[in-house]
Amino acid sequence: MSFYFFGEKIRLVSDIIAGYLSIFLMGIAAVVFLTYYKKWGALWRYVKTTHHSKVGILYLSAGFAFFLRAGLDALIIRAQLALPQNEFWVFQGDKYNQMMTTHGTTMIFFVAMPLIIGLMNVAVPLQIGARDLAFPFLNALSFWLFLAGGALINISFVLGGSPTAGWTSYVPLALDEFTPATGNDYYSLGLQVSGIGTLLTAINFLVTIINKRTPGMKLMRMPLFTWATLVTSILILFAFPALTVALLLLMFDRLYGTGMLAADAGNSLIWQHLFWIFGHPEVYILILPAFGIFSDVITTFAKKRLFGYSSMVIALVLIGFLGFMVWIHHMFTVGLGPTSNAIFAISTMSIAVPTGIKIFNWLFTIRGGVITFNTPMLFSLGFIPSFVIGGVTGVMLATVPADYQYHDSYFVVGHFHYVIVGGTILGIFAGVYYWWPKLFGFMLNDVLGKWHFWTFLIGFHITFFPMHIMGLKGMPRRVFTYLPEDGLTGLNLASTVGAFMMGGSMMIFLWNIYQSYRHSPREVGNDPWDGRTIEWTIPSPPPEYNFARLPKVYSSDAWWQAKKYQNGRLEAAEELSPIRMPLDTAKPMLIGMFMLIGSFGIIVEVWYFQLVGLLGVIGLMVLHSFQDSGRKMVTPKTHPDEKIGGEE
Amino acid sequence: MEKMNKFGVILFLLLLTGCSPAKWDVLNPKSSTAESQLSLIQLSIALMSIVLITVTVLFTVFVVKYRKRPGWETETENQKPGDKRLEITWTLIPILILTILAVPTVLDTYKLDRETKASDGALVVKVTAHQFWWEFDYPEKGITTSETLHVPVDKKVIIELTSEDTIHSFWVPQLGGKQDATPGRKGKLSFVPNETGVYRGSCAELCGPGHAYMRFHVKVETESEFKAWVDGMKQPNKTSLTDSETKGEEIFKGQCLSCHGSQGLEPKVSGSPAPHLGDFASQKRIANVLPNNRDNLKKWLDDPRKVKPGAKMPSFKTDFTEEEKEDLIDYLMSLNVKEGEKR
Repeated sequence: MSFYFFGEKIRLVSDIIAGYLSIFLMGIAAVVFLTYYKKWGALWRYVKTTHHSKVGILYLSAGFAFFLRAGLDALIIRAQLALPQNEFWVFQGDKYNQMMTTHGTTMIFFVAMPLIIGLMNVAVPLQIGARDLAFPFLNALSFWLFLAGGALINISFVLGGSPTAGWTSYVPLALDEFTPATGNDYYSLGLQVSGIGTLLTAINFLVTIINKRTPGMKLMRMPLFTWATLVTSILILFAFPALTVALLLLMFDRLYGTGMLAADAGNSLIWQHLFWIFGHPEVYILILPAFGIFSDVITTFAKKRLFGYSSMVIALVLIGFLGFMVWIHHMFTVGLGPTSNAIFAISTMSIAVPTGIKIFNWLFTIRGGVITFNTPMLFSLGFIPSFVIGGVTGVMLATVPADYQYHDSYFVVGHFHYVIVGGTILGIFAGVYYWWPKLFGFMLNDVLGKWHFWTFLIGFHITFFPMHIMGLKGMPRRVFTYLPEDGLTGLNLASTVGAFMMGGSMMIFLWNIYQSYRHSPREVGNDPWDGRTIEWTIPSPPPEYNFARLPKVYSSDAWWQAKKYQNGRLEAAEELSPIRMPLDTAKPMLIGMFMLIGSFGIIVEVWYFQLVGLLGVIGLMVLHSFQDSGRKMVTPKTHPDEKIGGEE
Repeated sequence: MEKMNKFGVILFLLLLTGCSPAKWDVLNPKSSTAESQLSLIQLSIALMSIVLITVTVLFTVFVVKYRKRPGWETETENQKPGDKRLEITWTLIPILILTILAVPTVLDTYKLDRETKASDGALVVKVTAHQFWWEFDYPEKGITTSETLHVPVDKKVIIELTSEDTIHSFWVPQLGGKQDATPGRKGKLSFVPNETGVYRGSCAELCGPGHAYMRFHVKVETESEFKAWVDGMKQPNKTSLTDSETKGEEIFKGQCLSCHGSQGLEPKVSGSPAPHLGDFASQKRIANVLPNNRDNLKKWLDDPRKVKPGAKMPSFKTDFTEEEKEDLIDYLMSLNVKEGEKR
């Protein structure tokens, strides 16, 4: 059974039918839910919002939805690899490559990135004493562009097949000569669209952090998460254009018959260089914000000032800077010659120095503290040894001759999962548990949180530690199977067991959200964790203007200083007066929608879709340029939970 | 708690694998190149263990010692902002450790490169990667083979790599680390195997749907065995063929020879579109997927793509009668260069 969808033959086999069915059922469920609980209005308010914390919630929700999808892909991958020459459902050969590519691409671009950006949206304005981001409209637009890109990559599976060339999409494999199906077009368009959103976000946070700090919030008084956001924004600003160029070349080669990346007419190494000039900083784009979260969480729950604040900041900047000088270590086996390999080996190793500084500073922050083990702290503590394993294997990978053995083997798969899951994902969970009460006004259940943490951490080590050994036993990455005589069965089976344990752990997390939403007490006050930074001086959830009066800040950890030395109040920097707030608008969502239609038209090569998309986007841009988006005046009210000004 | 878990996990895994790390391919080198790579791996593991152990010990001590206990103050007076001497210590010691690692890394990188470039009487093998099989050309010997690369022991081998289609990567863990086979580029790699045996190799760069089965073997043999094999490859099948084998050879010439070479037979299409089958019967598996026996060979002929995703070979299900298939299989099963090992 099959049908044609804009020239692409879609065969209705069991997995595709299951895909359509799940989309259909989830759609029905969403409509029923929204209607039954009368939530259409609430949804529409979120669609139109330009407010940073609501955009943050949108980012977090979409990110977690994609997390479930990409996690399902991971379980399919692990099910296929559980036994030698296994035939799980249809996921061998090309279908396996679709799963593996979607898993990687989604996890990097549509899970880790939006969850990190979501937390930035939630926390950064509060941490620096700002009422919103510098460009609220742009912020909403960033989200909708990200969602459009993510939708393209995710829908591809049922509309002619997902991308198949890995998340790195190496050419010539990714060119239409070798992968003529539309999958890799979805890759190049999806990432371009979401990439615009990411770039806009970076500009937004740069301007916000530079310009919108409350009086006295000097750069060297900012919390580490804000610092990490600043450095990350600079990395995005310089790294993403390289990806955009690469994707553009790929798109032209695939769709319009140019040969820039082809092996004969062009040069396929251009792709590798451009991709990794983006790709390596991308790793730091993912990990630096997590470092920031850990710094904030560890100081809060160890009840201590951050050990070596300035060297922590310098280390962040240094890691960001060095992150641009190491991309060849992904290409040691290309054969670029011993000199370039040696130089990049040394630059790669040098990143271990600032990273080491950070690890030891965290350890010495804990030393002499009074540690409470709430869920955010557990995730942060679990991070330290897990991430160090990923870090030391990173140094091992930098030793060029040894890398000839590790490269593209399961050793590398183990390594980067230790870095990204053991670093970024644990950081995201720490951040979510930490800022959840601030965002929603109730806590996530700590007992369920601990169950979530331990099952996740143990599952994580069972899944990924064996991968190092698989690599040393000769298992290349991205294979859909192996032979019984390879001696890899036990390791792979263990890894699969661990993966399903992590899947179960995510169910505990979802259950926790539901349980806490139903049963958690609603009175958390302004400061449930006995925090140190100024986001804990305002009510939870904060009013839409965040601060009725902006606080005046005299030091880092200003809120902790105030609690300790100034009877628990911060000085106000202004009198109560009406505040200009941005208006809601549906235009960002509409631009995202037209971008989706246009990109879809490019992928399936249907001119009227392209035209509608183009006219829609340009029309809305023109409209927005000539129309005053307006501001509304809001009169702030003081709140008993607000610890700024007065009551001296 | 956490330490206990990790320790348990490692122990559990060692039990599961049921063998010592000394048997893991990368840690069990059989060539000069793989040995020098292993020595760097060992050095880096040793140095990194120092880091890992230091961090783990400090972490455990601090977490245990400073956990909040009943009766403790909720606040600590210890709000030290930092300590210059400590911070300089943990900047300098890592630099020292990394220098100890960086020096041999750089030296070995250049050493391996020099060894690869110096020909000094080495056996040169031109390796061309195809979706999803490896072609081995011996330009000095005038022979071509696939699936099993034969090389003599204790003699330097230089592998010259290129690709016909997508990027592949040549990796034989026990003989040395990998090198990419990029279309339009030449990759080079060398090693001196120091023990006879058969070693597994695979493609390490994602190259398409059949990537997992793009495997091969390297057979390291004595000089005389190698000579005998080369001679065998050059000569037409020396044993007299049975009736059915002769019929099979005719079918092969009619249908298969357009793409596949065989003993004494060159493929009609130039540029090696398919693996050379001159030593087919000695292969352990068909297309590196199914164990090499008659039933599986029939399965393969009927539907190659079902057996190996992305295989270029078309189905011959309807092209032959059952009898013709039997004859062809008889012929293919006779293609064994080594006398006496014939099945």
